[in-house]
Amino acid sequence: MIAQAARLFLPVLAFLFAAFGTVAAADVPWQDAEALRAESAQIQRRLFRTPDTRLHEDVAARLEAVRGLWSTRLRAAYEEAAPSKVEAVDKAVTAFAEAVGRWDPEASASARARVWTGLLDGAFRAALSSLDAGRVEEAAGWLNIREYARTSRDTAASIAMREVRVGRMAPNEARGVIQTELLGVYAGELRKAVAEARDHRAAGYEVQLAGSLARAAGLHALLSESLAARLGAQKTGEIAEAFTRLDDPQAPDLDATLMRIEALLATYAPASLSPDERDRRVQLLARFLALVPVEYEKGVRNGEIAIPFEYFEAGLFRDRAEMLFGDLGYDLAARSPQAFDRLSAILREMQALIAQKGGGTKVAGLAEEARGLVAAAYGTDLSKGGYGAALSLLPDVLDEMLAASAAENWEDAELKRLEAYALFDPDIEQRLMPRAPALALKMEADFWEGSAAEPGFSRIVAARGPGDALTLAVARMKAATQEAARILDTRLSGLGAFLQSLAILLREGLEAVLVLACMIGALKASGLPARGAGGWRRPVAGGVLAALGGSFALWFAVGRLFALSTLQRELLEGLSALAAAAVLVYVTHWIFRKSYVGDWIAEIRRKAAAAAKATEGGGKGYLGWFTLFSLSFLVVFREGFETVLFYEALLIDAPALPVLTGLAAGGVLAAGVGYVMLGLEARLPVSAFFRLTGALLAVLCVVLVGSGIRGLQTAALVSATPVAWFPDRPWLQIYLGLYPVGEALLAQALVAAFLAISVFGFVRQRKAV
Amino acid sequence: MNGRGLVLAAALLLAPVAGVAADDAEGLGLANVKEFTLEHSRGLVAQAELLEAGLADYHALIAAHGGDYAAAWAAEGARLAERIHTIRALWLEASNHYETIEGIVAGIPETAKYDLILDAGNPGTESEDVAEYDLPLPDGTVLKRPGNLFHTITEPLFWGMDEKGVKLPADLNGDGKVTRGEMLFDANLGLGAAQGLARWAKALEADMTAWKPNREDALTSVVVMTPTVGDYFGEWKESQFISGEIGAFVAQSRLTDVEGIMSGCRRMYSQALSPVVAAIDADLDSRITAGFEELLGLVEDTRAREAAGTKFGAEEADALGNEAQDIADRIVAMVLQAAAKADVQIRG
Repeated sequence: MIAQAARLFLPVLAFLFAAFGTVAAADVPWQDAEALRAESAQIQRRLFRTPDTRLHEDVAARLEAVRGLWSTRLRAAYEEAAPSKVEAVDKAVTAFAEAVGRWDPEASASARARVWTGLLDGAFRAALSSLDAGRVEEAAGWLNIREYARTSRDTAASIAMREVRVGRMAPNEARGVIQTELLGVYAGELRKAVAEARDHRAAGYEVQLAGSLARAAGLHALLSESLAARLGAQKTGEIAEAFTRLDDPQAPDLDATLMRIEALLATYAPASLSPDERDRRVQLLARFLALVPVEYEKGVRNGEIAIPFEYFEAGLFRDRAEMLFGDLGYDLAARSPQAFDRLSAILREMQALIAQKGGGTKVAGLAEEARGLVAAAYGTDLSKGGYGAALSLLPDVLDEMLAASAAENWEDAELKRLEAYALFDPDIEQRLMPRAPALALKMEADFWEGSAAEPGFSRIVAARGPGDALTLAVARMKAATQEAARILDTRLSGLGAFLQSLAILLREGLEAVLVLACMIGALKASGLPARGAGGWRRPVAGGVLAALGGSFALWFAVGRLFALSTLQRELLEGLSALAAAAVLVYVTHWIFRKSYVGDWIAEIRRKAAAAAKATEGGGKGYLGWFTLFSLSFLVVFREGFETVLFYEALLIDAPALPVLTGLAAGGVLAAGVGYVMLGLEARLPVSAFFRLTGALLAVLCVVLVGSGIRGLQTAALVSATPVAWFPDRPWLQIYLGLYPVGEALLAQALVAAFLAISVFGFVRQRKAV
Repeated sequence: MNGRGLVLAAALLLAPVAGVAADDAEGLGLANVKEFTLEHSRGLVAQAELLEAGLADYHALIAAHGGDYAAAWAAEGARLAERIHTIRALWLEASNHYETIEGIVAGIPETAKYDLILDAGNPGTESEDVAEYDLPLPDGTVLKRPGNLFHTITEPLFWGMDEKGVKLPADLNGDGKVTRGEMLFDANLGLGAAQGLARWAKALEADMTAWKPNREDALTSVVVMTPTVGDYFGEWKESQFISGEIGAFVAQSRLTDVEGIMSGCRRMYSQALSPVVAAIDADLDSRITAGFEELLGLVEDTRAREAAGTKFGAEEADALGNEAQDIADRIVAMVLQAAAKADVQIRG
């Protein structure tokens, strides 16, 4: 009883506080509006109950408080600041009182919604007009009567009002910010009210249906000027006409009318997006559309959920795509009404398919079609998603990883790490590698084991902490992301494009050229014929051509015929490097043997015949046909696919002519290196040439082993332990494959030791002879 | 100088003083929140240990008959019925200690995992919010990520809603009938779960003791936990108290959780955050405070009516949940305005 009495007098207390409150509060009785909203809600809750005398008395007292709150001060304030809304609120308060008197919950819910939306409407207009007149404190008071963004966390209006109150922002500037945010909030609330009305109608909840319909109508009135300005007279007229048919909640075509309103509002946005905001949303939309089938195919097999997390992510990405579609709707509809309608239908179809765990091929087809529509409307650059979208999303995903780790949910943290890496690798790293290889390498390392001093995500997540280290690593990555964005947003000059193109070819191609030149030199020195079935030219040229063809074929097939995940690509590169290293160790061992053990020329010539037989599928021969072919293939294919990707990325950022000139110059330089190597073969004594090429190939063996192990580590197949004693230098990693990671260094040391021992053994053999 | 000018001048002069006072009040409020949480954590540990002892007794009675529940019931029926009655009472006390602080525990990133393990987490078969722990049982079995201890394991087990855990239907109340919920449950699972409850309750107490209260955690806690009110109302609506069907949350109404969580959020706000927000924007603080009062008023009224035997209709229950969610959304939006004004980062 005491508690009830206390609650009953809350509005009175609010009134008293307001009367003796601050200057702003004395001008605008916003507390009364809040109290009216809360008190009318209390009444509405009671109308669900069966009335008795006590309840009647309780409700009557509360109703009196509501009337008093409106008539005592609020009405006068609205009369002064928003007179056009007074009559509507007057009528709604009266209707509310009558409905409560009849104990009619439906009519009461409807009237209550009209009261509140009327108050919101008037307060919105009053806040803006107060700012126009420079009455800042009054505007701040009116701004307290409002709704807030439920999920987008918009706070710009509050901040703008704070700034204008302390004189750091002009009132007219703040007005724009406040108007934009509030119109956005009310547009969202209008859509929500219409959707809720449909739900309540379906559930048979008459009271809530009446409330939602009246709320929608009130918000429609609030937004009427904005709707007319944004959608034009004809469409606004259609919407207004549809709203007139909402008066009867029992109307049989009510659901159809609500659906029509939803459709008419689909392209309504109270404010236009800036070109940057629009482009960012297009990129994100394209990216999410691309991610849906990728996650879905992993998450659902044969109509069953195979991996729940992936299934969940597919749904989540579709929902995010729909949100972005909502933001872009007005713009897309203006560009292509057909694309707008089809994309809307596609998103609905995807939702139904995901809910039914339908076919992955169908989901992929829909996603592909949707991306095509986005590409047609906004151009292929934006629709690719690209690095801009990835850079925007990356910090959010990193925060999600941090949140998962803070909740000790390390499995989710690992999934988030991989999600973040999937954003980094294809879209950021490939664009960054040609332009800032050191930064790209540093970022890549931070996704994995990091360094001894600064552990990376993978190491911290695997060790389940410490959380502070992960927070630091995320802060480093965010800073690196900003740096990457700065670099990638800078348009390359012609000279810059030329130099970067040249650097790509030298960095990725020199290793292959050296291996091939050494091998060809050794073969020439051995006196083996180049031409003919038993010659070395066919397997070497065949291997190189097959690798080049294979690289382009893979580049073409990925994304069109099948998906190659980030980790699969790293695995492919790592395995091909290790396979190339294995063949090269064999070749190097052979060359050392020939260079240190005597009578090698006779032996080579003796085996020439055997080589010819091997070519024809015969027995095992000297550096057989398959060895030459596979080594040529592997050293070129290893870097070929990635080189094609790097050039593709560079051509997006840079003018084509300097890139192609750089490519040609790089090719000439690489060929020059090859020519010098072959020239040495003619000038040096054969044994000296073999020792030189053997030494060079030994170094390349070590490089390949380092790169191969590193690839397997990045594919998460081999552990990675950073070491502090080895220098962490990008040039050592890029050009010599020397990473400060224990496993890679150990493997390289073993290969180097093996080759050194074989040389030592051959030297002793020669002395013994 | 006019009246308004005087007020502004006084406000400018007093602003630094108000700032210092707000800092002190905030520190004191945060310390109070921590002490309150620790007090209930200790209560939870004490009740969980009593529960463990009760389960050990029950387990021993069953084990004394070689694990033959029928034989145990035939020989020690009255003692077993009394033990189950005690176990249920202890469970309720332990659960209520936790519900009182759930809003705070679940909202602080450093302790959020305990909410999943103790009260809210899913089994490993689910895709999200999984309770990340394994449960060893006395017979050596280890249950991998079995779900939360209170509502996935012990509540259905002790009240006979976990069919696998029912070992023998038994007339516990001696009225000559065996109704649903009258049974002997799996002693091995019961004892293991009670041991797990005690172990994790102690771990929570240790981490809560180590927690350094701060503004970011306090804000995050309020922003993360307040909007969950709609989910809990949804569960309440679906539970036996509305639909008439036997389901989860049989021991007590889900509204108990709602009340505990929202009280925790209000306590965190009113004690730790209100002084800070009031110093930045007194109007905003009063609106947030009023929002919490409105929300708690709705929850407490509903809980009181339910306790008094009111049967809610489907639409009324739905409307109450929707209204609670609307108020919670409003509170969170206003807290976010305050966070933005104070330049505080919300985690998670």
